[in-house]
Amino acid sequence: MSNNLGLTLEQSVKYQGRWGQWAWMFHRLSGLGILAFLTIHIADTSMVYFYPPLYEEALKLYKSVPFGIGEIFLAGALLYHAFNGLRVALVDFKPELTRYQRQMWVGVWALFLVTFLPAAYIMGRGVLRSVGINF
Amino acid sequence: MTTTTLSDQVTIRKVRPRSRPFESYAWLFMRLSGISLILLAVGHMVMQHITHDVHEVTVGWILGQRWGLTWIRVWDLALLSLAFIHGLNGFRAVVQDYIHNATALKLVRLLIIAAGLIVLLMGAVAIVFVPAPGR
Repeated sequence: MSNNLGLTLEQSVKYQGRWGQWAWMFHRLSGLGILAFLTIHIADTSMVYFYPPLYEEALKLYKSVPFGIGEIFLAGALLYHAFNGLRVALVDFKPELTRYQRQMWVGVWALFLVTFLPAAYIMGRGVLRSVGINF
Repeated sequence: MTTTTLSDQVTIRKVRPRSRPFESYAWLFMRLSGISLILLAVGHMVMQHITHDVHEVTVGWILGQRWGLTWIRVWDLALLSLAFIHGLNGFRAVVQDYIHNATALKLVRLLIIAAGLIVLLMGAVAIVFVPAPGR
């Protein structure tokens, strides 16, 4: 396992796949991050039925500052994964789009910025308000 | 004069058409669930963080304003199953790239299915059975 990991990291640096490699790597990392959050989120939300006192504790955790910052990252990971995944699906279903892969990759980041920046602003404002900083 | 028919010249063998392999269905599922999740998952984030501040979430709000509405329960159930299965299958794809021992791979796949089923069931039971006030 550790050998595999070392090899993966070493070859990731050596392999010069440029933007396609970055797209692939970000897609995996964001996907794994979202899955980790999702697993915890399903388990804690189900406590509203199985053990309500624990759910109250979970809600307190969601309102904490570190969790609030984490959720901004979650929003970023989700939006990137959504738009890049849409690009992958479109190229799979319409192979002739392969010609425009590069433009679509730019489009992914354009969509990401247009949606993430306002979301991060609103979510960040909520986190700051929770500690008494209003603007 | 003799007549030759097609069946004299060619051998006709009946071959059962090969069924579509599992991976082909998995590939299609990832595309279709992924496209649906752009609406379901991003919409969920918008409802929790943009149109409502997560810092004002209470159990009463969840049960009254959220799960008190049937369409939200249906939304959450679709989101839960599609997102979690999409994530677990993605996790399987990642794991397959790094674990090369067939026995270990089998074990990890089994663990993903077992743990996945338990968490999925916990979430589904909570969404379906938690009583909403005034219901």
